[in-house]
Amino acid sequence: MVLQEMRLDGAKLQKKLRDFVKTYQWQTCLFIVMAIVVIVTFCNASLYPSEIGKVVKVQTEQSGDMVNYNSEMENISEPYYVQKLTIKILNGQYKGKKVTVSNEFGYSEVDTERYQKGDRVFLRISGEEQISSVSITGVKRDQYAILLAVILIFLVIILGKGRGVLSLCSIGVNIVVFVYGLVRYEEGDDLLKICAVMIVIFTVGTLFLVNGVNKRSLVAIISALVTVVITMSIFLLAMNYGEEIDYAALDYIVGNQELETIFIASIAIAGLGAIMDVSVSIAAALQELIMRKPDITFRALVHSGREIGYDIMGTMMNVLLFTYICGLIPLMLIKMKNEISLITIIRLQIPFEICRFLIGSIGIVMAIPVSIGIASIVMKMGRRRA
Amino acid sequence: MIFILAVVFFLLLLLVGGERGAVSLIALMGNILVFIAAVIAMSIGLPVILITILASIGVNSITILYQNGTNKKSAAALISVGIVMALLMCLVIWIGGRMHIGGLNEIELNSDLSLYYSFAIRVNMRKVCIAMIMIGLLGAVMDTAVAISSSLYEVYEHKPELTVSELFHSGITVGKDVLATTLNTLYFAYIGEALMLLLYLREYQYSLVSILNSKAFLQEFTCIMVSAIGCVLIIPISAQVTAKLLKEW
Repeated sequence: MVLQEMRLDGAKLQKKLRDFVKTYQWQTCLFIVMAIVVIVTFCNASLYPSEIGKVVKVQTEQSGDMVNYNSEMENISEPYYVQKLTIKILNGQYKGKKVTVSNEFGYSEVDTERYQKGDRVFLRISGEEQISSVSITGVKRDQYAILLAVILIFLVIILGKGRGVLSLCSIGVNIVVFVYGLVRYEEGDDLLKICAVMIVIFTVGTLFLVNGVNKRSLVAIISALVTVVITMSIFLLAMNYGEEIDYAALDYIVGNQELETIFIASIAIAGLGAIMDVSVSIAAALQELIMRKPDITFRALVHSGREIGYDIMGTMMNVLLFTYICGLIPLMLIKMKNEISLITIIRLQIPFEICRFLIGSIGIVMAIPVSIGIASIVMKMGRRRA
Repeated sequence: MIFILAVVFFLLLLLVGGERGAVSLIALMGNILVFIAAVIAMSIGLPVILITILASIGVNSITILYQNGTNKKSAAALISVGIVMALLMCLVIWIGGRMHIGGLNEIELNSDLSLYYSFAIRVNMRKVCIAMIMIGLLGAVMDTAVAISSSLYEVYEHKPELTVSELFHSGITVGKDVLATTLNTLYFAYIGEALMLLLYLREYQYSLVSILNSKAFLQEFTCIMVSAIGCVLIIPISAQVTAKLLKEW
């Protein structure tokens, strides 16, 4: 009896699965392709030139305490541990052999790593024929990066279908342009010039690709570019007349490069997405209005544009705020734990994030009147002539 | 310089936005205060993940309830943000642990930080990294949730006879429009930062394989990817939640 029921259930399940596959044919295919990509990236060790190992056994023991010498309170310390790792080598001439490596880490793991079973690591192996010494040079992380990218691409295509593919394409094109820009910079071209060209290509490419080649996109492109120019002028003026900023606090200090130029370039690009977003929303809404009510007055257009602008402004600024400040948490914590006051950290150590956020937000706010002006002029004028 | 920019920003916001600008400004300040309070709480040793959850709830309430008023739209947006955050929390805890992206990256360790600071800080960086990713995606997810719930509300006002599934479908249509622009906003916001990072990595002759496996690159990459995944996930969820709330409550 029970067996029969189970068989029946099995048949039902099979039928359900078949129906599911039939209705969601291309989705299933996409899923299978994506799954294969992920599986391949998880076992492609033989493609790497350096040795890769997989941690198969971990033994951890506490070895002592580490004292925080900057803390004003006495006896502030954290436990330190020693790990004995058994690592199986996955590629190269020692493939299949097991080696043991020891590793130390502190409770907070600021500059140390705690390894777990299943981690893949890059190894440096010395010795000929026989392994004489092994050390871990880094963690292999790329398979997880690919996994995340695959999840995102899958979700965007499933949900957005044609539009989704288009927005992925526009991001793909932007990445290619960005990488090409970097290559040109390495060949010695002027960074600001490259950046200006890139901004124009980004704006035109993205808006035409995602919103189609039409008047609405054209209006959005002009407004976005005008807004970028105005915002950057405000920024450069403020830089000229304001106090000098200390570039030594910049995250990534690169030898003798022109830090100021890099900073300006990065700020110009950072706010672009938000500015484009605002311009597109306003251009689209105003076009809708003019289509429905061709005799609408200039005043009424400005009023509606402002209403739409207010609606998006607040949340857009939040997007920028959180994308910028989240990266500050680790360094802020380390500094606070080393008895540096919060005020000092905010005043001296994070002006770049504040700057980036302020410029981005000024861009968002500026984009509202600029796009309203350009949209109503272009669209109203165009109508009158026609 | 920051002072000048801040003054310009405030003036512009009030000039262009008027009363609504002032509201956004207060909400923004509130969010920054919640953020600072969260960092202080983490630094005195309170559980990091719990603080992250509390901070997310605080930020959500300020942004959605204060900025958009207490009504059905806001309730729907709040619930859907909550669901997405819970789902992503699981993903981030798993992948953050496996990827080893907590702590300082190669570039920060190369700088003179380690000369001045002791790293025995009794705060686990692996958890801090989870907090960092979760807080980073808040803004984008809230933005999409509010956009979808308020436009669905408009649709419902004009055509109250629509069924739940019809409302859901129009929510998805709105979502597609929002998705493209939000993905772009995120992409450019991160690429500005990535510009400096990549110039640095190239300067030090990192190969493609080592860039793709470096902690510095992957911290940024994971942040942007998780935020983007959140922005996609929120679309069906908030469409469904809003449709249900509008029709059945």
